Amino acid sequence: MSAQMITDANATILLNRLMAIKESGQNFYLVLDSFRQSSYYIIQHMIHENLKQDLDILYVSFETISRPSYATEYIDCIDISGKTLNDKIGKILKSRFGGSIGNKNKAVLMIDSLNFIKDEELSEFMQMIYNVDKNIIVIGTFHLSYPVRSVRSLHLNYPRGLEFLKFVASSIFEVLPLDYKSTNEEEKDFAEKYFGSPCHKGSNSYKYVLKLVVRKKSGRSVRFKYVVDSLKYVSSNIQDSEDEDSEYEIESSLDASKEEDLLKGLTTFRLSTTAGERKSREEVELPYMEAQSEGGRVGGAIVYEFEKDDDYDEEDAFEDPF
Amino acid sequence: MASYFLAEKQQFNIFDDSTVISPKLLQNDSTTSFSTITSCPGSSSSWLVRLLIKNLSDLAKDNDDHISVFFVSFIENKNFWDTAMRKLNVNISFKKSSRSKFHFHFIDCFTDLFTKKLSINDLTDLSVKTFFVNYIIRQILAKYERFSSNSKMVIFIHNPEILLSSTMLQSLTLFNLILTAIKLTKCKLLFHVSNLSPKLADFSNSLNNDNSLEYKITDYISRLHYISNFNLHITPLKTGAASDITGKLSVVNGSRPVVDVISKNDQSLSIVEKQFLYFINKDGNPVFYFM
Repeated sequence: MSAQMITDANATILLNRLMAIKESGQNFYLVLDSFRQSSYYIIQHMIHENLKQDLDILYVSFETISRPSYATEYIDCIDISGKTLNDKIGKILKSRFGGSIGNKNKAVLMIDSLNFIKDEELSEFMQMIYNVDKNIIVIGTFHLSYPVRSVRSLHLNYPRGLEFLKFVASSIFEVLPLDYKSTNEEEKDFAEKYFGSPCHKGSNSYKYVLKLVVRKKSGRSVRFKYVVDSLKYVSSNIQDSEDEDSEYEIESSLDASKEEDLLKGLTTFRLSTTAGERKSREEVELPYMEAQSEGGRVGGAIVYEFEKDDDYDEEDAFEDPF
Repeated sequence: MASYFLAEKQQFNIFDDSTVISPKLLQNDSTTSFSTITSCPGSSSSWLVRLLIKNLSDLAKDNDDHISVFFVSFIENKNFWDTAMRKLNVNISFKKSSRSKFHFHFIDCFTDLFTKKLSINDLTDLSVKTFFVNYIIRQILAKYERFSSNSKMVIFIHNPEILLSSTMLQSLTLFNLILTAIKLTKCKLLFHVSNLSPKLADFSNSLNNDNSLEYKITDYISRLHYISNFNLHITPLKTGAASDITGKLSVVNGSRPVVDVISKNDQSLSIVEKQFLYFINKDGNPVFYFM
């Protein structure tokens, strides 16, 4: 119980420190958002936490209509990409910081959407920023619900933008609507399939779920999940019943669609499962899951219990004889 | 179905201060709001557009501000809207001397689009972009300057994605053009009206050809949804047809709130998320029921 309370307190402190841009070694915040919950509120929350300290915020805009009030410099990048973009931002960064951010102000480069930079240009772009000064803090949003480009003839072996960003980010903030689990999948499927709109009720609220992955300098990474209220600026850590991973979720949904394809058109019966059925099936707690929680603590150790007739042999039968 | 009959008639409003379009939104000098209106096959958004225009004209009557509406349409001509406005009792004939505080400008991108405005032999990304800037944005700016300067500008743009399907225009270019139009005209409000076919706008992430029309449309609509302040979506009834209900209208928050709720703390400008059942009666006027 007390250990749990300590973890909760730690999680909250960590989030507060991150929001206030005080955690050392954290210089690239990747914010992942979707149609249903945009990064707007979490960014506003960060700005609020930093009102007291002098932040130099350079706002790189690809899709923002009006200049945000907190931006000290607003860089309009509509319709530019590639080398022109790198040159433009590099020039501004150099003239402002010129390699001497030092200890006084913190320099933040906020990018409203990293989706506008092509996959193959992302690494060059990030490199350009950190070449100016590695103390620049980058806060970049990446929209998850864009259609993914498939033609990659020139850069076949290059990682996808999202994969690359997840790899280089020092902390990943994934924002989700409060009801991201309980939405009636069947209804959502139906709505998207037949009525072609990505919008649903209950989207983009100031109260949302935040999944946080923080990579420490030591190489260890921690994961927490919070419910954040960005109007009151409070957050609370919540426990995950199952140890889920966003990658895992993607994989399982892929499997499901494969299964559906296989069974399609074979009979007049419905052999596949609907999204709703799959969800309820996943929610059933199987008996061995309970055993896992206790036994899981021993990890992979082999525990051999001797019985009275057992012959104890000191030598390791599998030992290398030489 | 029983619940439909029990449902009470509702006032239709989008904003928290019980208005369809809040006058505060137009008075706010520093921001531009962006809204998407989408409908899908089996439903139509023209009644909603008419209702919004009527509302804007009433707003001009009741307030001190002049309001000018610029209607850019790729699927209707001027006659269509002249008739519609007459039916709504909205006076759209104006002169600089006239007292009317409501100005309606129609920009016809439907008539002769591929014969005179665009050359059928030259439909590259660049030439369509030039057409968009020169014909649409410049015309809006010129008309505004000439007839309606100092008024609050509201733009409706109807089905520009037709350019994606008929020309080489890329989705990113069209999106940037819309952003440029907003920035150059400094309009207070822009409604992007489109009719989405679920065949073409597929949000399930299963597209596999970048040059396909599906990719272009989905990409374009996705981008719009990430900058919108509120979305209005019209669908037919799930159950098919009914004699007393025409369809369903959902008012949903966009990716960004209408005003900086946090810094300005003005709740009256927030959106009330609602779903309405609506019925278009014989006169073409909608009646709303709460869902």
